[in-house]
Amino acid sequence: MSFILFLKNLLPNFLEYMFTRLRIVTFTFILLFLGIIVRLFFWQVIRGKDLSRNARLQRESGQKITAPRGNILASDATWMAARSEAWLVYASLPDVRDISKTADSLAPFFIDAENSDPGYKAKLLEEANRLKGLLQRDGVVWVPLKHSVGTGFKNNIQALSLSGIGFEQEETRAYPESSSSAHLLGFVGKNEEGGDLGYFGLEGFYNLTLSGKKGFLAQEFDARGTPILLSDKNEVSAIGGVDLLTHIVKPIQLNLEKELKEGIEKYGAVGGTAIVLNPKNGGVLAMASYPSYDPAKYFDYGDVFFKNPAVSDIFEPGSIFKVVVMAAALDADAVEIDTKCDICDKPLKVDKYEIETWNNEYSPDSTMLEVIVNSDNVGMAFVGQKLGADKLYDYLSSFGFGEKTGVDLQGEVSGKLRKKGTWNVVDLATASFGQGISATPIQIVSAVSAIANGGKLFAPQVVDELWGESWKEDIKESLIGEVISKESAEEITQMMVEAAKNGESKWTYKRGFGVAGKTGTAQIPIAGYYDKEKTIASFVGFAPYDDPEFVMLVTLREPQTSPWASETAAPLWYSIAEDLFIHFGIQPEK
Amino acid sequence: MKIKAIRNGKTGKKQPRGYRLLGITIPFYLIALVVLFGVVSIYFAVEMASTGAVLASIESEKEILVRKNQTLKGELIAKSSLSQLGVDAEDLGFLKPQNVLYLVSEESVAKLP
Repeated sequence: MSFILFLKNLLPNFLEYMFTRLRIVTFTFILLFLGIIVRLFFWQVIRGKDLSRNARLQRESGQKITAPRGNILASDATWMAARSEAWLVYASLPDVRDISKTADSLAPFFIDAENSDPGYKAKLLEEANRLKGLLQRDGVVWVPLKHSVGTGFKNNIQALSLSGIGFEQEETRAYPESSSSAHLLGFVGKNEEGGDLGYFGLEGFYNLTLSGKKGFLAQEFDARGTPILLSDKNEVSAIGGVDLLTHIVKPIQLNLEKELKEGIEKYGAVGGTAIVLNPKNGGVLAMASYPSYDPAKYFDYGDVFFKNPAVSDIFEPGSIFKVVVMAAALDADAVEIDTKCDICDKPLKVDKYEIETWNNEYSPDSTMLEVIVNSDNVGMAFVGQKLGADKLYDYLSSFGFGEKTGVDLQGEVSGKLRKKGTWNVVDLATASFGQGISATPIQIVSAVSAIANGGKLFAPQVVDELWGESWKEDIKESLIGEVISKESAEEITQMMVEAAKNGESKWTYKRGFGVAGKTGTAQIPIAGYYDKEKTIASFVGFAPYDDPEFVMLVTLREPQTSPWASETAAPLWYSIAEDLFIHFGIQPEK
Repeated sequence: MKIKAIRNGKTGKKQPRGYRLLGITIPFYLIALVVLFGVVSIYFAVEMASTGAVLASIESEKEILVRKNQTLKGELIAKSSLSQLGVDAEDLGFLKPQNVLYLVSEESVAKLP
């Protein structure tokens, strides 16, 4: 009982005590709670934006999606230039342990030489020193060591397990035919931002078409790199580059290059160009020039090699131009095939100059046919006088001279044509036999192609079709116009057949194949006068003359064995044509 | 909706207990709904995470296949080289014909009876 009494007396004090403790605890919890709220306010409101941004930066990943570059295909859809996998070898400098060992191990993979090559050791040492220099750079964490390393080499380097060495995939260009068709294709270099850019040839002309468009992917990832599916995802798909299907016939192209190279060496020429066109649609079947370069290693060559002489070099065509002038004169009814030249018995005096024949032989009363067969300069001056400067200008303009042909290769230029009405008697006379006037090889072969095609002039065209991922587009042939009538074309063709058979190159003529052709030996103008020894030797022709499968121009610059086209360019033309006859199934006439 | 009354112990009068559906009070339903929602959310979040991992795995596999495809394509490009084919043909003993003979065949004409 006393205990209960004790408790009864104690209880009010105890309760009071407990209530006080409760108040203290409650107050403490309220303080803590306030503290948490303050802290939450600090982190969520004051620092909220920064933390949110940092979290977003951690989660989000944005990357460009590269667009694969389009391929360049021959007419049989085999590759001429293809996109290929390659690797950038880089070094993460803080992780590289032994600089010397790393450099020495990598050097053999980066040099373009075999163990047996002379100078291999010097190249190896040079490369090892270059790599050591890169690996010893200060203030740099990441350094690229070598671009465009092949997958095989990459795997071999990987097998060495060198610390700090990594690989990044990149795209490069593969050329299955090695350095063939360099001027046609061009090459892929870099622009100012380090992106791919096509230069010259098809790579340059169709750069936008081949490049496609890069895409972009922005997505959130968790700490392990797993994509967060419910998060925001922005994707702009890359649009791949378009493939170009060309008119180029690979066997003809390879053979043309081989024969041209051999011909240049045989005749001691400084350089040369050859073009083969399809006269029915202007399609470029083959095009080659020397000296040339390797598009895979364009950086090892000087700029002078990149220009395509077939479309970028102008020259005075010489006697091959006579067929164009004669065609114009026939079409304008200024002359006929059997019109007689009454001034062809001696050299022709024009102003203060004297026009002579190439062999100083003169045939009085030569017919127009004989003028072409004998390549008579005086006879052609006669034709020019009959035609007149204005009409000659009009026809030359129609044939495409004086402006670009529009061929789809970067770097095309045009020879100049004097303005109409400014031609004097000397200009008229010299232009009639192809001197004092300039043109590019593509302009010449294009004009002769119009003769072969019954008078219809097509713009030369390399690309036939565009191939997208799921679509194809045909690039139609571009008919510029009918420059001469079909009858005139047939007449000049007959003249060219006779010129090939019985002209100065008759010794190399392939009997029975119906070749229509013309030689041209043009003097080279240097500093206002014509060089006495140096020439540009050319032969232009098509076969078979009644239904031509090809038109071809071959020019040799400064041949040393002989200055004459009949002894250099003409036999080379026929040597190439032999393979073309087989390719096109051209049978000799019975 | 049955409203069960509870008799107030002092006054003896009936007092309403609360709204019930099938014998269960409404707040209980709300709590159950919230719990269910929570469970479903967690389930789907886990599913998404695992699907994301599967997606990442598929993407890696795709990369590997794309690389293999590119490697094979590179080999195909190299093999399609016509100039290399010419070199290989020469090594195998094939030669370019030096002389080409063109044959003329007479046209067949039916013999007259």
